[in-house]
Amino acid sequence: MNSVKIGSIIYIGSTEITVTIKQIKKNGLQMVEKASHSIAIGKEAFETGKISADKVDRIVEIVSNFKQLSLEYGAERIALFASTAIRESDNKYYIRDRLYQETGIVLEIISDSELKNIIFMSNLKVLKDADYLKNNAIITFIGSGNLGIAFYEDMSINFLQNIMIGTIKLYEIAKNADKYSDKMNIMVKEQLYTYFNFLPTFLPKSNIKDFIVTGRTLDTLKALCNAEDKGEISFISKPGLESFYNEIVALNADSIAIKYNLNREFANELVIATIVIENLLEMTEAETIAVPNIFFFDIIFYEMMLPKQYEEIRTLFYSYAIESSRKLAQMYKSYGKHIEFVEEMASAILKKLSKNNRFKEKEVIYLKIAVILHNIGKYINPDKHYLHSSYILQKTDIIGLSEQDRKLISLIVKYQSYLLPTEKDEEYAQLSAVEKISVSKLSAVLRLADALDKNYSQKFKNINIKQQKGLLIVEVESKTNTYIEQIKFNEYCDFFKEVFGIEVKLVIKRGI
Amino acid sequence: MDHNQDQKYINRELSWLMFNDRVLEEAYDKDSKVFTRLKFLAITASNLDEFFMVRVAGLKQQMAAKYRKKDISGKTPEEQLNAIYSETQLMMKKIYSCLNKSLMPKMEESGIRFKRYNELDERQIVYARDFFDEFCFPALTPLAIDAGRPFPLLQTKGINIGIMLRSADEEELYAVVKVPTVLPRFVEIRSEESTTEYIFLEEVILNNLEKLFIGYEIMEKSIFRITRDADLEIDGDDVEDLLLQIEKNIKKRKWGAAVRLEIQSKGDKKIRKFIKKKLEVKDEETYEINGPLDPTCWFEFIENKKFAHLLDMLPNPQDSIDFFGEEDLFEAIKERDRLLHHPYESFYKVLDFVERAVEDPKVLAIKQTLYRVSNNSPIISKLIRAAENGKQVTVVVELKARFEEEKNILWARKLEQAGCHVVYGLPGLKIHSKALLIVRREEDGIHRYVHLSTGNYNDTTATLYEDIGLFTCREDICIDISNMFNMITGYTKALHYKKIFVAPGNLRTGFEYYIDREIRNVRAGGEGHIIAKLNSLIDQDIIDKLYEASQEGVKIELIIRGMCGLRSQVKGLSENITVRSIVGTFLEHSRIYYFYNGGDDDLFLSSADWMERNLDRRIEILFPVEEHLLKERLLDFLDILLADTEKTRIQLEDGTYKDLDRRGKEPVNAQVLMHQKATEAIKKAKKDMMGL
Repeated sequence: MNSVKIGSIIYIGSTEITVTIKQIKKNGLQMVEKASHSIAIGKEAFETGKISADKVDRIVEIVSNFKQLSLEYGAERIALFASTAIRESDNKYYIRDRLYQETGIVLEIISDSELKNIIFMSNLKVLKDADYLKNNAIITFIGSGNLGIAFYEDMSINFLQNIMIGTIKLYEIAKNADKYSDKMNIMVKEQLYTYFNFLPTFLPKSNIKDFIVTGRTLDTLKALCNAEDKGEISFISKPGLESFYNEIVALNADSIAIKYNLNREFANELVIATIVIENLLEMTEAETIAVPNIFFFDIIFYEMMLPKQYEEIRTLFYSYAIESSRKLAQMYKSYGKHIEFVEEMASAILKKLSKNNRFKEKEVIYLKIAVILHNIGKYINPDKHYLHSSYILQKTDIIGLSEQDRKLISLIVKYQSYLLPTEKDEEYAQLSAVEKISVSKLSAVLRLADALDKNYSQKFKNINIKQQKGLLIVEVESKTNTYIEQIKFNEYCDFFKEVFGIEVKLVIKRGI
Repeated sequence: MDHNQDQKYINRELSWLMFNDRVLEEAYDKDSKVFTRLKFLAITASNLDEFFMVRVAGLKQQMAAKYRKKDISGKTPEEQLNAIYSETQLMMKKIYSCLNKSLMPKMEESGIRFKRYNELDERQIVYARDFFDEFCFPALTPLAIDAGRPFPLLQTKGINIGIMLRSADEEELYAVVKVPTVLPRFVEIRSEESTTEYIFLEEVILNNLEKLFIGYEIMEKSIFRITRDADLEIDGDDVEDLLLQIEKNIKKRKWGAAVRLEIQSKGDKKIRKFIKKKLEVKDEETYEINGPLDPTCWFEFIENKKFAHLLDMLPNPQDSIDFFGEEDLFEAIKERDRLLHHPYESFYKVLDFVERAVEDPKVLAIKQTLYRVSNNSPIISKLIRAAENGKQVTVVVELKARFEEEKNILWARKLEQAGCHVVYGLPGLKIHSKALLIVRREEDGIHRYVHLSTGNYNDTTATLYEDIGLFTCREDICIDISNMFNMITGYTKALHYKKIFVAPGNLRTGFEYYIDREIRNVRAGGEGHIIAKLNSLIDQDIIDKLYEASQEGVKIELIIRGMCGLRSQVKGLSENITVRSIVGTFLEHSRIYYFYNGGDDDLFLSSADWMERNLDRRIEILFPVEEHLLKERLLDFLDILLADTEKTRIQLEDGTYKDLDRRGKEPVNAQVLMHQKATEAIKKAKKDMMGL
């Protein structure tokens, strides 16, 4: 797809719909127009599981207006996203269809983890451009429906946790205390504790000097705490936040709304966000709170308009995903020479196969992560560990990976040995045809690579992989007994042939 | 010193009547030609019509609803109405005294004579009768009134004849004949003399009525005119129905309650009593008129090309000095802000700007607010063409522009048909701001250009009213204007604005902030100075803030054309405030607000007056003029207005106005001087260009 010079992103959030129009200027992006329209759909979707007809009409009208506004600025591409509220609604596909019928724009309903990745990537771009990420840091996203916390350590994001509790949900929990404003912060704190108490286990070992926060309430919070604007990043001082925090915990939401000229719902969100920030700030030694001046979907603009810069960030992001996976493997005591060997084997096989198979960059990453994490299940039980590995993978947030990414990797891991992909497997059956092929091919490679080090002794040296017509030859040298590897390799050849349509043969050179 | 309400504030209606009196003074100005004077007479009458239809009607509605809340000057609606009645009775007398004693003789001197029917010679009577038979008779429908036929619905501001008849069997009967508007009001009758002689249409009809009532004896007859309540009430918040509701209300307006009856003083008593009773009009609402009813008819008369020499020629608007020599308007605006001062400078440049946008392939979108436009407005046709050229055109049409509603609905539909995105304003808020936004895609990306004005996008009134327009592409102002359009079009909620102030929202607090800043500066030992040029000052909070500033020692010079609820030069209250009023030929319409700020001054232009409706119930904008050159130019203009000796009326402590004491002062007519300056500036620029 050709890159565009003016792009527009419309986002349907839980409490408002926004449009952001940007253009390329001086090798960067420049805001052309930004507008938002309040529409509270989150609460309704969370409570009733549906968005009412009236609200759907309004959504369509607002999106049509924003499309018109985008065209007024000559937007060459308009992307439309929705996340939590629409996704949680039973009528989401009807809404998507109506939007398409009436605006011609396809709505992309993204998962929380995809949204989080988008936001983290957008953040990362700004933080890198500002040359800010130098210290260990907590990076947090505070949304209406969820909370994302990442730990940045040794120049990489090693931990990410998405908590399905955002400012709206926290408010719902704490609202009974609204009449007793001083107790509201206590209720929120206690609620947060149930989620936050495990965090210290994963915190960076050395001191956390920086605290980076994004979220839709942050623009207002910045203004109310007199943040210092330094271009790409604004900084709220610790005393500034504390003074604002002390001020609002003594007020109820109505008083806050009146005092700061905010609508009541937003005032609630702001209060909750401030309490969350105050709690997380306590875990750090940061003297300021850094607020990157980003639009959450900036990275999509880069993808649309400056693909080279997007690629750089994506590559960096994938490297975080790999690093994060290694940390995870270490945590489950399953990282070592075996993993490194299998990684090398898998990579070499995939490279050779790439001549006749078009693997996407993402698939290369999938395989790499599948290799790194294929044994983590052994931490729970070596018996049927592939099932445990698969399960852990599905349930663990990894920076850079969406829920669907993790699902695909978990299946690759699941089919590492005993099990094979089959339509009888519900998880596999639910995949699209493209995804099924991808999972099958990558698991076939993982199986072969894993077979080459079946007893964890790295018996093979000088590996050379050749491809002849209809045949893949894995040529290795070894001076020891390699029966188990040969047996397993041969066992996995059939599936490999079935998937790739070529034979595979292991040739072992002896006598070294 | 404590002052009671009446000592502190002037009632807005009475202040407005004083303003209309100042307009009428222009009709007395012997330095002007007779048709120019007639024009001001017609303006006075037209203003008064609207005053009755809206303001008097509103007060009557308040009384009917037993609403007794006092205004800022401490008057109840009833007290206000009583004061209005006595003032307007006097005003009507003054209007006709001016017409009969001054303007009619003056016209006669110029060869124009108006005759009563009994003054016609025989030949003229024959002509008048023939005229009646041929033209009037087919257009007339006598409307009889009896038990079965109620008093007819007579349209507001129409001229009618009431007749009392007696039948052959001695039965008394009443009837009304509407004077048709399809016929000329001024019937030229052949004269053997060198003068051109006219008779009013209603005189011809009045004296030939027997042809309409054959078999009846005409006992009494009287010419009358009624003015009805025309205040539109828009209910509810449903924008989609706004257009339909306004259409419905326009129809209703024609038949609102009568608020004024004008009746020719020579009319018969019985018929007058009958009309008053049927229209439910009280004595104080009845105005005996000594002359032809409805002086707004003179607007039509002075258009007669035959007598063009009797009308002062309006000075020709000059080319814009700011755009002189600039071929590419967009580049010129990019280089620096540009200003147009109408009518000294031509409105053509605004049309040219729109025209270029229409034809420019780089232009993606045009957004514009429209409040009052001329008939056959070139702006409308250009916007239609822009849409046809594939531009995204958004037009915010204010349907509620008083007495323009019907016209606005008509062309709004035309724009819609052409594919423009037409937005019909917001319920409860009139969109009074004047803004034009152009989005252009240039080599280095999107650029926005705006034109902001104090006056309407109306090429006709731009030659008559003084107004100021600013062109800029300053990014923060352009973003603010984009946001304002997004808010008006319903795309988005009201936002925080960086440079402009928008009502309702931060406009009122903005003004308060700047006045407070002057107060703070004085308190800190510095100087405080405010100059404000506007049409009306009625808002109590602003008045109080100005009093506070005056008492703190801020020098306040107000140039207020129309209503002013503030009393200037009152000891202990407003000693540091002066109020001047200039009407002149060009009805000073621009709003300029200047705040000294210890030398680091701020100067703003606005569509808003200091009235509650502007600050709280309309979409208005206040925008800064930041370009040093342009600020200097506007300050120079304010200096000239403050130096005016010819048209300035100065408000006295009691709220009345008097001519400026000219003793020892160089005579200065600000409007004449401004025109001279515009002409000389262009002349000089042309000379410079030619190297002379």
